[in-house]
Amino acid sequence: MTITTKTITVRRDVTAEARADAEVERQRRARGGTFVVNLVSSPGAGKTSLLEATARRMSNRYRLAVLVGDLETDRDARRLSPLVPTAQLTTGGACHLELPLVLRGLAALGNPELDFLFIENVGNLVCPASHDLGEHLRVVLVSTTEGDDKPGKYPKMFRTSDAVLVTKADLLPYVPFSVEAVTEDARRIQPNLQVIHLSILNGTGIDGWCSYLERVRRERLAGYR
Amino acid sequence: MHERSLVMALLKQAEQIRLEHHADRMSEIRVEVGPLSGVEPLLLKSAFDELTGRDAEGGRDAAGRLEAATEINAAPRPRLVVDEVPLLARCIACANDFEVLEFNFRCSRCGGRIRVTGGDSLELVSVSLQSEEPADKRAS
Repeated sequence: MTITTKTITVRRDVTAEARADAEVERQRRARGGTFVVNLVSSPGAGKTSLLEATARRMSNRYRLAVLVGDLETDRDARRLSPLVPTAQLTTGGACHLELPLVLRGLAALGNPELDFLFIENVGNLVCPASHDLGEHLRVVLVSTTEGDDKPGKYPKMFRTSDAVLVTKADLLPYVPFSVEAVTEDARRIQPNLQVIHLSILNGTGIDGWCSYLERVRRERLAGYR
Repeated sequence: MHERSLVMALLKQAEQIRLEHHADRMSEIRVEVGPLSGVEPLLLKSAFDELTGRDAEGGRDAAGRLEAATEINAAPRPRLVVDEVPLLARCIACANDFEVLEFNFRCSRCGGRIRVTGGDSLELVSVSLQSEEPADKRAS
């Protein structure tokens, strides 16, 4: 008996199919005028609060919906659903959202026609960096209580993001956090990052955030026509 | 958690190749992993060992559900080779090709914006396949 061996060269990204699927969805949403925003951060940085404030400011002028990802509970969905159509995505044990679950959430909402779809990812600065949800914009929140040295510790997340939102800016007088330092650390990894600081509690910066969203939506969706 | 689903995708793709080439088994799967891939080689290897273990056809998770691990040849299992590759980039302005060190994503020559050209993914490089043929096939 002889054993023959041959080596087949493949040279293919293992996630190529998943990425291609995400790109299909990105194009599909864009053609429908839906701008998809993926919000990522550590737990407690203020994603849900930001969405509450965003919905209050923008839902009278734009058609919004939110998909919220969590391992367990629908706490965030309960906060948001009075303000905006919301679907809770419960991952069970998974520490990040993936495209199939996002599509199921959209279906649960009835695949509505939207101007903005916000996806609140699971609170985690690690795994969500590697999963394309078909978004047009990825925004990472860093709150002033988290320290300004975090971007360098999570290079993939900051490299793949478009904007950094420094949240809880009302606490700046009380914490050793420098917006300049976090900006420099983040832009060393991704020079194109937009840096916005805001406080949901006292309202500063929220209008600027909404204007940024409107502008980026116009600019990026134009590229899909 | 993450490495596990990547290994499942990897095994599925490798198994596809085995079937396309009508081979009896896979002897080796070679991958490349870079610093921005989001993959930790050690975790990848242990996920691979777990999913290709002797009891791969009947692996059960903590909840007792039968794992839908891909149907691969149970024994002997393939070897996983993980080559670690550097994070490489090219400068958009001056076309300098260089290795990104300490995640400093600026051109090493002119400080300008760069495009990552390698080291940001988990790549299936090759699959080594083996087949057994009966001795009398070599006749004459």
